[in-house]
Amino acid sequence: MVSAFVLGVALLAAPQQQTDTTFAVSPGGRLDVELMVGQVSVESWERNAVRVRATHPSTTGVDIRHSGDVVRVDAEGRRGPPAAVTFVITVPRTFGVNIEGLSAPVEVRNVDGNLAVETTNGPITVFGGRGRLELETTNGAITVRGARGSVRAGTVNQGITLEDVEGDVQAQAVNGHISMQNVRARSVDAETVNGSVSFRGAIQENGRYRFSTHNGGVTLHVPADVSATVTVSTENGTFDSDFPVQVQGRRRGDRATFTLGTGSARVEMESFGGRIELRRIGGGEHQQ
Amino acid sequence: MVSTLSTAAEPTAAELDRADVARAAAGDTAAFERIYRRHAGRIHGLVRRMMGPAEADDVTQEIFVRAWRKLELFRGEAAFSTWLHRLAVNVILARRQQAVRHHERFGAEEPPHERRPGRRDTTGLRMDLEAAMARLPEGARRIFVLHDVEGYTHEEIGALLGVAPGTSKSQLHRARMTLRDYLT
Amino acid sequence: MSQDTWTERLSDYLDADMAAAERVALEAHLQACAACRGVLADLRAVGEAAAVLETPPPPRDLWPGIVAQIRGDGAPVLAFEPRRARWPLPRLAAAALVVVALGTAGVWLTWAPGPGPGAQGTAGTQVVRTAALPAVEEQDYEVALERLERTLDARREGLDPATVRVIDESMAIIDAALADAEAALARDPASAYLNRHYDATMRKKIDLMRRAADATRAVS
Repeated sequence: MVSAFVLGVALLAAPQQQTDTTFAVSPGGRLDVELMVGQVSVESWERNAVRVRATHPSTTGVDIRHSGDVVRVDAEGRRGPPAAVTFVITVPRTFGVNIEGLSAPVEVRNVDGNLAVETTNGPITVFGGRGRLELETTNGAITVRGARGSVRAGTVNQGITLEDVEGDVQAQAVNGHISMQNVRARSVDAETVNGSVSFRGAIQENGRYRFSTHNGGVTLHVPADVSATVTVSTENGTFDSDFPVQVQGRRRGDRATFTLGTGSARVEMESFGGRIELRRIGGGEHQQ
Repeated sequence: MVSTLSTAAEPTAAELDRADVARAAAGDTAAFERIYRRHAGRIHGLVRRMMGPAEADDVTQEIFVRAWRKLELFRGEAAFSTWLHRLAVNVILARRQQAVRHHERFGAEEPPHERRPGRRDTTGLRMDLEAAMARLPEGARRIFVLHDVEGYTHEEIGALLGVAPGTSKSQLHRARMTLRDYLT
Repeated sequence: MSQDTWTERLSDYLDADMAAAERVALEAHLQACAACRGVLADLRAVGEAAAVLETPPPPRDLWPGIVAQIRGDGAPVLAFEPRRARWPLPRLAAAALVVVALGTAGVWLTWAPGPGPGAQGTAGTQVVRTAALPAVEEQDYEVALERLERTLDARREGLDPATVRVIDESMAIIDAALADAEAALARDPASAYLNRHYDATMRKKIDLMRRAADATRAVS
């Protein structure tokens, strides 16, 4: 892999230098980080200050600019092969964060402002937070735990895992599973091509939920008192349910719709060729 | 700005641009190199006059790289050189906006250079003018370059810099008067 | 008017940016005022010198730096060949995909169900946002996809091998899914689910191609 190779070369070629600087900022500002290769960790504290720690070879510069409440951190040395830089940045809790990287794992903890991460290679991991999360990577898993704002996550290769998330969810993958555990959202749209989609959480009144895959299975665990109009679509797959559902006259390639409770929420479960399962939290299979 | 007369047999720069832009938009880097060679001087000159020599190479590169990436967006309704020029001005102004009150750099690279005033040269009016322009304060120099050197209107300058056209006019006048002092 | 005030107006006069009445007054003043005539001549000289400023070529050739950023640095040629899904002709008529440019902010894909045997169920419009690449106004989905592919082809040298592999594999996964959906649609063209599923999968394909193009941009 290019990034590992370059990292290796960088470590062999140049001695590492440490940068550690702290400066005051106004709260509610923004941190922008851009780097090509390396690693970024962002965490928060209660101070109105930003601390940037960076480990980098001395041939690569680290450029830190701040004006009022916007802080911009770049790794330089764009001519020639990129050398890896590791950033550990601490920001005020209220800060928003933007991170752009090429090959860089990213981890962000407890940032309450909006968070946007875009990388090509590298997992994205987010803990806590209250803002809007927009996480995009091509080759890397996305994990979000304990977030209290909306989540939009997109990856191509590898999966998406959301746990203890409260807020609207949009999750997209191509070659990876999407797993949502303990999710409380008014709207969920989760779609993959090669992989399963699983969801355990609340189905809210008038909420809208869509779970879709081509090859994999779709499994929902919902409370027993759920009120939803459920549409199940499959071409070659199967459907099984804990709830008292009679699916009548299901035609190949068509949809079957049934109502649970008052039917206020809309739930769509789609799998072209896989198993679709609707499970009741707390178990209990219905005798059909 | 020097204009060239071309005979009917030779393609004009605009025609060459049109053909090369179409190729470059499809990915032909050789075509884009021809575009670069035709326009690099003028763009670099613009950057140098607006920002000073220290960052001129860097910013010129950035302009062409941006142009490459945005090539599909060029719809051909105006001349390519105009489009490229506006892109360049936008890049220059965006770079200026990044200037901040506090700027730290760590690593082997040198700190950014302050703008150096040009040397006074008596070998001809044009050299004098370049040197004199370099001595103008930044705001006045910018407007002078955009209006008198590059030919933008005050309305266009106002839109680019976010000032009223009247402000542009008075700044231009001040720039010209200052240059007059330097040159006479 | 004081002398200074006259002088302040000289630039606008020089630029022919003056109302007729004021111009007449200024010209009358110029006839009488040698100092102003002198300033005007100087300002004219400055303006003329500025207009003929030569533009020497840059002190050094910047092309190598530019081409490096465009192409990446010694990256190998991309192996993947994006495969095109084929839309059966009747289906094209049924749901023409309209690609509408939205300035430089992005390209919107919308589709509206048209007349034809296969169009059912997908009522209303769905809108998907992709990156501004390319900005086209084309009625035909196939043509839009073709342009995306050509652009990607041109840029593919900028991608690193790991990303190439990921995109290649994922593209194959999507194409296989599209082939499945097409085969099923051939048997059951009226199926609402299959039509929607096909469209959703095609959207993912375009999204993947956009990502591939964005990845080349990120190389700088």
